[in-house]
Amino acid sequence: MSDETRKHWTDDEDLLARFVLGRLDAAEISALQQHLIDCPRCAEAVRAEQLLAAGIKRAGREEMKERLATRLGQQRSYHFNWYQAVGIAATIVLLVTIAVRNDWFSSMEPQYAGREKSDSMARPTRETPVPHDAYLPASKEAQKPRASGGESKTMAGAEAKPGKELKKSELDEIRVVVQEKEKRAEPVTMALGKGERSQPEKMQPALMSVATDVRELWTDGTVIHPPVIRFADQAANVPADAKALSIVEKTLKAGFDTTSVSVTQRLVSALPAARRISQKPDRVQTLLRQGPNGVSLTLYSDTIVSPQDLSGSLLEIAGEDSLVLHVGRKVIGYKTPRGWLSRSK
Amino acid sequence: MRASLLKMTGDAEILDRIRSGDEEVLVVLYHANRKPVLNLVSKNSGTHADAEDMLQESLIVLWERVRSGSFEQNARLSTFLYATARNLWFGRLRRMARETPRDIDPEEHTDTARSALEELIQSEEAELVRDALGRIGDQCRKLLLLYYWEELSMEEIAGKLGFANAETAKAKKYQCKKALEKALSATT
Repeated sequence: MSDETRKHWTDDEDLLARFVLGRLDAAEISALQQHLIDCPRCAEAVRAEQLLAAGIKRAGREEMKERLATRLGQQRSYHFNWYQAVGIAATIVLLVTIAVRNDWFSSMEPQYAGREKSDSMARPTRETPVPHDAYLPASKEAQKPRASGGESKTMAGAEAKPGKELKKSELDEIRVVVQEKEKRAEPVTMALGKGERSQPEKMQPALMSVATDVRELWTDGTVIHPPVIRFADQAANVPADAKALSIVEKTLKAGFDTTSVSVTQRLVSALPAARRISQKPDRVQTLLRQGPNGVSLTLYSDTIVSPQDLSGSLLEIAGEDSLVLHVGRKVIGYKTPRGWLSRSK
Repeated sequence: MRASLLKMTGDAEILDRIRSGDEEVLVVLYHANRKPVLNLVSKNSGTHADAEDMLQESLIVLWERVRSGSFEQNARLSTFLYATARNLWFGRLRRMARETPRDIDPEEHTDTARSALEELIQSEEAELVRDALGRIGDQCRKLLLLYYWEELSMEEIAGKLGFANAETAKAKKYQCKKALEKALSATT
């Protein structure tokens, strides 16, 4: 009897499933396993059953997790949380205290000149403006107690009587507020900022808008083998405006504002069918996506990149239209549409 | 109140409720074990959301083991959940390489890379099966989930899905499995 026509235990659907699900005793499992050594077709059948079982279990787990999350969500909505209530009450009290202290409820319009409207936290709320140098956080001038010169001044809630010198604590308070204000006001613009997203006609033809705030770009990364650009030599080889950046769990501080960047790998089998047929050697099909939560690169490759390499990878922005990804010992270059990476003016 | 409810309930009763398929008991366990897991994850580079995720995963591990009969109670359920959440979280940290020095030589870690490949392949394949499961009709999907995930017997499945008997359920399972295989081959 040939192997094809011979009866094998894996032909018994029920036995096969129970074997994979571990519903047999140790002696039975051992006997069946012995048969697999001499029967590649049976071993393949077991593998296929394991795959099905793993996928179905995974689906079961995901569905159960969703149901549990729903249950917990419902619970949260009708369980009164005392900790949250106390926190909210404390926040309200704090806000009211600050508001009263800073005279936020005053109906009088502020009279100040030379300051932008967005300076609301730091601006003088009444009377005459404070000289600009009083706002310089690091200057020695700002650290000196200032005489008001007979003028009444109010700065960030610290009211100075005519002729009274400001105390050091008052100046410190001003400095803190100014520093906070400067942090917020620091202008960070970029080519892919909100303004440009709202104007799809400006998009490059290669770009595909998939949602209001998300852009996707399929691109082939070219594997540049060392030593064309070696990881260790990056400082000498990349253009002056390129910046080396750590990726995972870090923020990318050039080109993309402070957007987070993540790098993921998937197998080629996960590619959409249309993309799968255009595989080329030394090319890595990559989905580059930019959205409100950051930039992500999904590399489709059957050559595994270990999690350590992925997390330790570096991304360089080279000029206005190139990205260089260093992952493990591999260097992959990407051409991107102009304007995707550079800062807007 | 939840702690006292849990004390009153007791581990044995919780296990019975899991065995009978009462998912509501997971909510009780969640609240009773939330704080220690939150402390554990937040003290080890994790966020509040990470902690919730780990606890939910641990509850599902417990559920799966109890339902499949492979759970052996050597300690309190709270200890089991804490240890499981801890293992899951440290495993995830390792995968994210938060614990690994960045200048590590990848060639020294070929074994890790190989297992990562296997993990990735399995994960992708399982995802394909999950997708295909959504395309074979609700009854087939439920039947296969009851058999492979809930690990119910054919008698129990027949009762739940309204089949005449276990033999009918078994025949239906065969059809559903073939439908799933067909859906999978259409994908790949």
